[in-house]
Amino acid sequence: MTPDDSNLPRRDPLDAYAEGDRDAVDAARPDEPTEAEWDAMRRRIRDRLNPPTPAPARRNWRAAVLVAAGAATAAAVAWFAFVPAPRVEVVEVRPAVPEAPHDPLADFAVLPMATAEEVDVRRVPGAGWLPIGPDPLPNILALATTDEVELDDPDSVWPQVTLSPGDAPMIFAAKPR
Amino acid sequence: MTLAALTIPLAPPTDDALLARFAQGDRAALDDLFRRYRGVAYRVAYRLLGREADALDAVQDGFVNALTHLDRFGGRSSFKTWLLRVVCNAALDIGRQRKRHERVPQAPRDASPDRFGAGDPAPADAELVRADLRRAIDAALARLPVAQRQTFVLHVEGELTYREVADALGISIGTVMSRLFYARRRLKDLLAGYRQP
Repeated sequence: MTPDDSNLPRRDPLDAYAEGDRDAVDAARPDEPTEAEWDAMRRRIRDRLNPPTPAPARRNWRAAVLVAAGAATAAAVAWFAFVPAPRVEVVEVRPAVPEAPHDPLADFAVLPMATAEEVDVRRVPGAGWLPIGPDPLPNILALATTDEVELDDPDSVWPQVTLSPGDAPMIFAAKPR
Repeated sequence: MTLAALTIPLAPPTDDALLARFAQGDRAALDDLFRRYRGVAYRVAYRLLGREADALDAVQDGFVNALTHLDRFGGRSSFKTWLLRVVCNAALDIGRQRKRHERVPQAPRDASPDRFGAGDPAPADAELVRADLRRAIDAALARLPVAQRQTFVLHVEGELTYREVADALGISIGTVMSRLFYARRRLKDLLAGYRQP
C-alpha cells in the first residue's frame, strides 16, 4: 500500500523553484536546442580548437619539400658521423612557480588610502569630535562593483548618483550638509 | 546462461580520462565531454542571459575557453566546475556587450522595484502552465543583482554544491550561503508579485 498524498497541500511551483526544489527546477527547464543545433555547435567548437591547416598550393611543392628533407637528413647523418659529439651541458631546472590566484579586480586602478601611521593630525577644524584610537581601515578595503550593488531609488540626500555607471568600483559619498 | 548475458556494461570514462585523451588529440573525447555537459552549460547560460541565441554563444565560448586553458584548470576542481565557471564568465561578457549595444529602460521612479509592472503578463489561473512558469522565473532572475543571480544559477541550475560554487566564483562558502539567502528571499518576493497581481 502506498501513501495517498492527494490530500496534501500542493507546494507552489514558484516558491519551490526559489527554494531550489529539484522537481520544480526540472519543470521550469528552458527548452534545449535541437540535436542539429548541438551538432553545429560541436563542429564550430572543433574548428576553433583545431583550426584547419591550409592545403599546399601546388603538388610539385610537396616533391621539392621531400627532396629538401632528404638532403637535410643525409647532411645530418654525415655531420654526426664525422664531428665529435659536443659536451653535454647540465642545465638547472627550477620548479614552476605556482600561478597566483586570480584577482577579479586586477583590471581596476588601485585606490590609495592612508593608514594611521601616515597621517599626522595637526588641527581639527570645528568642534565636537576628536580623532582617537586606531584607524577604521586597518586592512584591505574591499569595494563593491556595480555588478554587486543594485540601486533602486537613491534617496534625495545622496548626491547625483548614476544608476548604471559601468563596471568600475564605486564609492558613494553623502552630500555635505 | 550464455556468455553474452554475463558481460558487464562498461562504466563511462571519467572526465579525467576524457581530458587525457583530448590532450592526446582524440577528437572523440571532445565529443563525449561536449555531450556530457552541454545541457547543464546551456541551462546556466540561459538563466544568466535569458536569451537562447546568447546562451548558445556563451556555451560555445565556454567550451572553447575551458579546453584551451586547461593548464589554468590544473585539476584543482572538477571539470564541470571549471567549465561552468568559464561559461559564467563568457555569459557575463556577452551580457556586458549586449548592455553596451542596448539601452535598457529604467523602471519609472514611482514603480515598486519588488513587483512586476503592469505590462508584465500574469496568468488568471492559479495553475501556472510550464511556459508561464518559465517566463516568470526568467523575469524574476533578470531582476536579481548579477552576483546573486550567478550564485543561485550555479547552485540550482548547475547543480553545484556550495563548495563547488565557492570554487567556481572564487568566494567563500559563507558568501555563497549569504548570496543564496538573499537571492531566494528576493526571488520569492518577485515571484509573489507575479502570482498575485
